[in-house]
Amino acid sequence: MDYQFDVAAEQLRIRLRQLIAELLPAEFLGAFSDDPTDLGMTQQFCKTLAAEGLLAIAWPTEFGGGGASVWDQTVVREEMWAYHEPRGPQYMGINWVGPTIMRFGTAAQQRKHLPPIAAGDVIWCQGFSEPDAGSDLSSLRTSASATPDGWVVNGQKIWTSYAPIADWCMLAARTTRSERPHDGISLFMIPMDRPGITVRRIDSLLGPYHLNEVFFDDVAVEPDELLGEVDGGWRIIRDALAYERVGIARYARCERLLSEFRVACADSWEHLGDSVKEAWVRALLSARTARLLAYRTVDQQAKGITDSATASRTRIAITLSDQETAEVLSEALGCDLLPDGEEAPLYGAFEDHWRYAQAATVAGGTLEMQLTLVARDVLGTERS
Amino acid sequence: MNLELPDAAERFGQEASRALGARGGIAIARQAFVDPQVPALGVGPLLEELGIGELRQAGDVESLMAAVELCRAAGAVALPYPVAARLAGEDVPVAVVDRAHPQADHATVFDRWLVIDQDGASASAQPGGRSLGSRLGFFVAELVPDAWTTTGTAESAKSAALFLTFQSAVALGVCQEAFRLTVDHARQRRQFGKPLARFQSVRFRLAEASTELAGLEELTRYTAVQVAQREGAAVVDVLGLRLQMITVSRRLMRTAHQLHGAMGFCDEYDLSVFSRYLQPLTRLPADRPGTVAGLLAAVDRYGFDATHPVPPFGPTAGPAPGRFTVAARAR
Repeated sequence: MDYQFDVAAEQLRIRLRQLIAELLPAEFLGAFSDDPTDLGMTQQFCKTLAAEGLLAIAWPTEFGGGGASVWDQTVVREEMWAYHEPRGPQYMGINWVGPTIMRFGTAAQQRKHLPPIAAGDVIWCQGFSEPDAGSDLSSLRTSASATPDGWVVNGQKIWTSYAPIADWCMLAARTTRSERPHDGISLFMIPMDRPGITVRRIDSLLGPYHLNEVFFDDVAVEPDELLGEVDGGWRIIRDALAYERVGIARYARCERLLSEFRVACADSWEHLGDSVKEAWVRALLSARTARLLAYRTVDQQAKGITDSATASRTRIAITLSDQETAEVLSEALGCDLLPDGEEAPLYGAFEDHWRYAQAATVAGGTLEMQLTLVARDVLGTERS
Repeated sequence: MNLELPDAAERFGQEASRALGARGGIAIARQAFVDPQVPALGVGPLLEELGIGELRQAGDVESLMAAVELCRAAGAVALPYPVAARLAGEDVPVAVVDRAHPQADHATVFDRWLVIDQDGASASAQPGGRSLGSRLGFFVAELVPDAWTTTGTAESAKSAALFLTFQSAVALGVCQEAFRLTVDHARQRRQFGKPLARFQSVRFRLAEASTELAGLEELTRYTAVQVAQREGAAVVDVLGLRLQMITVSRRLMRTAHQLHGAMGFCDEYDLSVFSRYLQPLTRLPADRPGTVAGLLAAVDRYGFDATHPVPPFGPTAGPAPGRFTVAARAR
């Protein structure tokens, strides 16, 4: 028992920080800023990562990955998130779209999709949520009706991150109206330039590219674009969401910003109120606790143990820690949180973090859904 | 990264649980309320037989984790014995105390103690009188120190780190058992025609408590490993664990009492015994404000280890002994 990364993982961490320092300016706050050059910068950064075998580091080598351990992958996740995710939208392809195609796709689908994801050449979006199907995802109504040539899709998706810039969509649609809503859902991999697809951006607190609507009007889908079996999509979605549950190492950015804040304060630290200092050190402890829980989940993943309750506890701890850090830093900064860009402390990193942390307990599975899963583990089902 | 609790430590903890259960479990605590001889004559020999005296000598991670498991087992039955103090000392039990008012839980079990103050200075001490006998501090007694040393030593720093870590591990054991009792109660107690466990507000509250307890368990084990590897230099980790323990245990007991309703306050319910047992653990040597002050001073001096460590800032700052420090310089 040592709670320690091995030497290779620590060297990987050093290499990643070198790349970040060399390739990204200090004021970089992620791909989804108001400056369109930031998106280009992330695409270039991904190419460099891919060239060094670091983009899909933990993928099996036969699929274009680096064959490294989940611990190396953890280091990559921590370092990328700590520095505002310079992989940009590639995070989704690497973290769960690729692994899901590896598990459920045909050999032809794997040949077609995995190499471009591993090379950082394509952007994927996730067509799951609908206006009336959020946490209750299985009530989705977008339909895929069978035709002699495949299917034709009609419906609307919402909150679809990256949709305006995505090349592909992993779409969940209803193929059969069955008694149990989970039973009639299928997954499709559809190119976003297919006729009948319309994307509308939604301006938001979070910034550009994050929230969008996607409309499907008589969109033709070919037979080889089905992932897995017809009506078998729910199992794949559950699998995909399990990957997503531990995917974001939010604690790493919390630890970085809490440290940067202390350094930036220097001697003025003494003038901060005791309540702020206490909240700051508590936030450090929350981030550490979340990180240790994340390591426990990664350890289980490495050993092939499926324990969705532990993954949910981890996600609860990570997202609440993210919001706690955002709140502590915002209170410490007071009105200095209001400006962004060059006028703001740390080029607006605190402001950016506060905005994005507001969605931490909503995006990718709400806090309430995670609590429901943990409660089932502790108490059994709601009816038992 | 190795997160596996050593087999020997796990077995030791299970063996301790069995032995304490065979001796009566939480009934020992109830006996001790009426018979002051129970801790020294009933519990002490049992723990010595289990091998409590050998764990400190070994000093490796495996022995330290075995000690943590023993503390958890002791907490799970509210064992009326200074387990953390006995495990932290070599020849005599050790307690970290407030120098202005030195006292310890179960202080009368031993004739001779080593007390350590907030700055690491130490003194030999003996119990100064009877235990408080109060509802919140039944077994707490004053310790009267002889002459204090002028400065701390590496040895006293290590003993203090061990004492505080073990104290938190005992509290973790209390909380885990109190949580188990509360889950059982929520399943069995029916109101409005259904078990409490079917109400969403109850389910969410227990899910939150379960998450916090899982985090406290990880933090306890992580801190014990830091103490094994860095001894007294792990003071930041140790005080951080203590602050988290105080926070989580108070929230957990609040939930446990709320869901038990009035019956949870009755001494015939174990929850009441646990609630009382937890008070000295969270208030000695320092309650939340004192722990926060100590932690902030320690972070200033040593920094805080993380993926992005907080560097040391204090006038006596030295390099923070953290495994991420090399990586941090690369940026």
